Amino acid sequence: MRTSKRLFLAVSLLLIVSTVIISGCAGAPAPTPTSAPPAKPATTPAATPAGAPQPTKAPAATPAAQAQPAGTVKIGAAGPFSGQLSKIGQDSLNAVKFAVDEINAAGGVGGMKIEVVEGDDGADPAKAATVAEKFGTDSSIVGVIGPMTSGAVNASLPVYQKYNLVIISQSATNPNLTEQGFKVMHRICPRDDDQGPAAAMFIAQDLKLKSVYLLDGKDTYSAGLAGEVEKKLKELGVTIAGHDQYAPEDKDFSTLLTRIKSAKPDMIYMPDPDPSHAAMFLKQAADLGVKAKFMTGEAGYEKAEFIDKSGGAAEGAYLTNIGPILTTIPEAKDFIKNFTAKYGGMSVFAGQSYEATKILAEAIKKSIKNGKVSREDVLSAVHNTKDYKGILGAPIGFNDKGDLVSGTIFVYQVKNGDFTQLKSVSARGR
Amino acid sequence: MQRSEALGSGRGFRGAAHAGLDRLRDRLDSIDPRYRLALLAIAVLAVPFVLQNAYLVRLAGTIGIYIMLAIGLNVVVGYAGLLDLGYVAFYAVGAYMYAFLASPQYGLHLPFLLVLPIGALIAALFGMLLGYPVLRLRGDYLAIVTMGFGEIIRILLVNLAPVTGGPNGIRLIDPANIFGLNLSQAVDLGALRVDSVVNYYYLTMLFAAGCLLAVSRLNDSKIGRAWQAIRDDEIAAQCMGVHKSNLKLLAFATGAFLAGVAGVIFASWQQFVSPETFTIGELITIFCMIVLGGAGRLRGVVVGAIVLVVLPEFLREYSIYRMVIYGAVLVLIMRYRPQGLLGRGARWSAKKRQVTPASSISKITSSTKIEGPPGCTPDDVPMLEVDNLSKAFGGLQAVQGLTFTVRQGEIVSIIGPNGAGKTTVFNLISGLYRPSAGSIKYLGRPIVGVPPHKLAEMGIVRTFQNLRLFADMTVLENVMVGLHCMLKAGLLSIVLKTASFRRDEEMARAKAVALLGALGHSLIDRRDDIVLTLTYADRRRVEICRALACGPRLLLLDEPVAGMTSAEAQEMTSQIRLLRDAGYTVLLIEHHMNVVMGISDRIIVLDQGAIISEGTPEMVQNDERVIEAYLGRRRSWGKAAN
Repeated sequence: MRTSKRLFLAVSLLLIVSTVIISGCAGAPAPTPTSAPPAKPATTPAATPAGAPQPTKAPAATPAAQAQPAGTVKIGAAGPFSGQLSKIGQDSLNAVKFAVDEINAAGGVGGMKIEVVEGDDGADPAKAATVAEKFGTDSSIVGVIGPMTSGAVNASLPVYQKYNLVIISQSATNPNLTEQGFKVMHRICPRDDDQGPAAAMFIAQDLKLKSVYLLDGKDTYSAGLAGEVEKKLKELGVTIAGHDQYAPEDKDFSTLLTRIKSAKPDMIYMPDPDPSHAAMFLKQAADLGVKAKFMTGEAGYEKAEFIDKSGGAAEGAYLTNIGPILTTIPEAKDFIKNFTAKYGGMSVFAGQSYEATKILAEAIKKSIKNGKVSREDVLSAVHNTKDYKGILGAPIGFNDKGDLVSGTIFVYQVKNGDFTQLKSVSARGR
Repeated sequence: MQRSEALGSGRGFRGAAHAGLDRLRDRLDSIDPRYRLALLAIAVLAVPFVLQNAYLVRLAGTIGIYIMLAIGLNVVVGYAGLLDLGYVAFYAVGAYMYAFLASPQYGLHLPFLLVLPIGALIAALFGMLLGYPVLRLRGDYLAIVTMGFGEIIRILLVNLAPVTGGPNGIRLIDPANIFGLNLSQAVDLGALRVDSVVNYYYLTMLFAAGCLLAVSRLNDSKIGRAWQAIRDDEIAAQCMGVHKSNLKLLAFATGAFLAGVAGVIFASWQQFVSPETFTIGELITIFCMIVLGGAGRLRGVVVGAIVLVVLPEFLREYSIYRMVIYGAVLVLIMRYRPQGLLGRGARWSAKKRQVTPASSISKITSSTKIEGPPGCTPDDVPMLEVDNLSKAFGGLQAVQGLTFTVRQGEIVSIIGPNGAGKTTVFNLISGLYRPSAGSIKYLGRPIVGVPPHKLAEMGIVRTFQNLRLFADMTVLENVMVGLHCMLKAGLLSIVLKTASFRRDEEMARAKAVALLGALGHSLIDRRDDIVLTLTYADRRRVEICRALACGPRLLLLDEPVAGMTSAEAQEMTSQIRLLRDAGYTVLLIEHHMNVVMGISDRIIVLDQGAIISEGTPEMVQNDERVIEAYLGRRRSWGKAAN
């Protein structure tokens, strides 16, 4: 019976090694060489020289920089910086750091430097709660960007509430999150029940399609969004030709596509958080001669990952977005240029993470009293954010629940290898 | 101990680290258990006041949850040796049970203390549901099937949205409310304000301690010994009266029960459950805890849980390199300390676990008489009647048309050249094989088809030709496995450590020591040694002791003196005779002719699966056919020589 013992040891070693591999993959930053060569620092005062993230001397360009630095104030960044979702997690973390570097380079907030404390939760709700407790007990942390996944927000909300520590999530879309009466909760992303019904209304009323095939990747984001679309489509009398699931790591969609082809839907709705994955799907669909139209969520706005990687198959595809597409917004131009120069690429939530950080910094600035910042003040300052104009192309403000005031969703179509805005839809209250 | 210290000396840092860990382990071992418990209790109670930091207390509370999970998995994997990779599913079942019964999901708000047993029992039920179909599987096959089960449960949680809330999970779960105390709210004790985290810390620690206590008691009972016996040698365990299937199911259920308890507490603490928690990654973490700490040892499991919860948190400042360092540390620990942090190289260390109290020995050593078999049997019935017994393996006829009888109080030997079918006969009688034809009657009752553990309980007990001792258990534990059927303590009385259970255990230990004494005084001194460290002859003796512990009437000894010196064989011969005199009936397979001729009342000679001669030693010795079978035909030999 020695074999079982040896087997036990072998399996244990295998498991341990696999944790290393998984975590190792997650830990490695993956810069993509697709971006332009490091650009010369732009002339705008907000830009940070690439490769110099920690300027020790503030440039004397702005009046704020002339104030004496009065210590530091910390903000937390929570999200899946390791594990399966580490790609979007790391990217958002980079965007937070990027925003903070910009702010510090410009003299900080009210003379105080901002410092980012990382809180990796690996998208695990329990770890997110632990991170919340860690942030909460560090009294120099006055606000948090994240957590990014709905499960993590759900589990950590009671803890953040306990510490009265405001959070701005850049990507947690589950409608319930803002319905539980937690005052600290804010988010700078659409709710599934804004985006889902808006997409469904566009499909049914504008495109007047009769049947839709839904796909989701089993994760909270895509399953939640596809669920909301399905609900509204049924309400509007559109036939659901099918609703299937795939795994985020799937590379071969042929079985799925064969099934879809025989169902002959007018449209495939697939809100994949990874645009290159959606591009891969579209390419295979074109190869198999699937004629259905295609629609995805806000992730599709990444031109390089979505349109370019699809090899033309994305032509004609629809997508919904929280606001205008980042690349089409003049205010975002510098951000995109400098960020991609520094980090080599950009994914879905970078813009929202950047914007959330700037909003939080603005709130901290308003809350400084005698060189001190209290969590209560930051919370109410964030909550009272009205008509903040940043890089997202639409004024940002929070309603009582902590949702964006405007639930307007913008619909785009890929035409001639670029995005064209078709219309904006608001599903709220309809 | 000496060996490890010798290893530790003069090998630089690595040696020092080893020696340090060994010393720590030995020092922990040497503290009086009562003080150890008291010290531990004080330390656990003091943690929140020492740390003064909700984050660190939360980590400590998380450790409590993982201790429960890890010791539960340790029961299944470490004790019973069942590679269960679907374990997280039971954690999920516990957590979701609380979520169903105490949240707005179904509008039910049952109290925590009521849901706790319900959740744990339903998890245990799931444990048995998984256990039942995989009873026949072992090793990698078991691992694959259970892994599939774990994934099925997780996928169900994701896809069964109307019931489970789907990927969004279930939120707004009630906090634990114990006798009117809402644990999610801070408690004001005058000057002292106790944070909710502290409440939950005490809750998890309380239950972790309870689970530890229960599991350690189970481990030191007939159930724990039976689990380890199954892990070490399933067949031998069955032949000692251990009901393999029931005990495996019990292991699955116990592990799942603990996971269920952990799940309920987890859900009440986090007040939110979603499928993201119950992934294969979580299983790997729990698995690492038991491997890292020292598989099979409870204290090691606790250390593993602490290390694996605390380590990644302390590595947070290393940002993206955190998980890489974490993984590397685990690999290095396993490379340089494969036995786990607090484990021992169990196979090679001399002493193990608790030492039998001297009090239970002194009573016995003076009188080392062999006790007779229990109960009495009607005199006129033969002990064993074998009629026309046949067994074929495919085309090979191992045994055919065997008919013989063993009367009560006889010593009957089966001899024959290698491959004659002797051991097959034993396997047929002891229920390991099912005969192709024929019948076997034991004390007048047909026993074909009766499972081995039942036969052992009825009084047919065997030893094995190639020694099937439970290799990682001590001498005394081996013998005490033999007493499995005698001990009547139930699960509850073991966990509660009732007086009758303690009396039973004491009696069993005394009886085991007495048996060891009866077969060789030196064995008593080595009772707490791992059985593999004994000489071959001593191991044979231990195996016979173990068989005697089962309370046999018919003792099947398969080559009891193989590998012994002639002096030792002599001693064994006289001991077998003593056994007969004490009232045991002995059926013997032996090649050692001096032994066979010296003690047998009758001899059965087998060749090529059939009886070629039967009778007293003298009759057999002079039988032409026997000589022919052993030495070949005289004439043909002569011819060949010509």
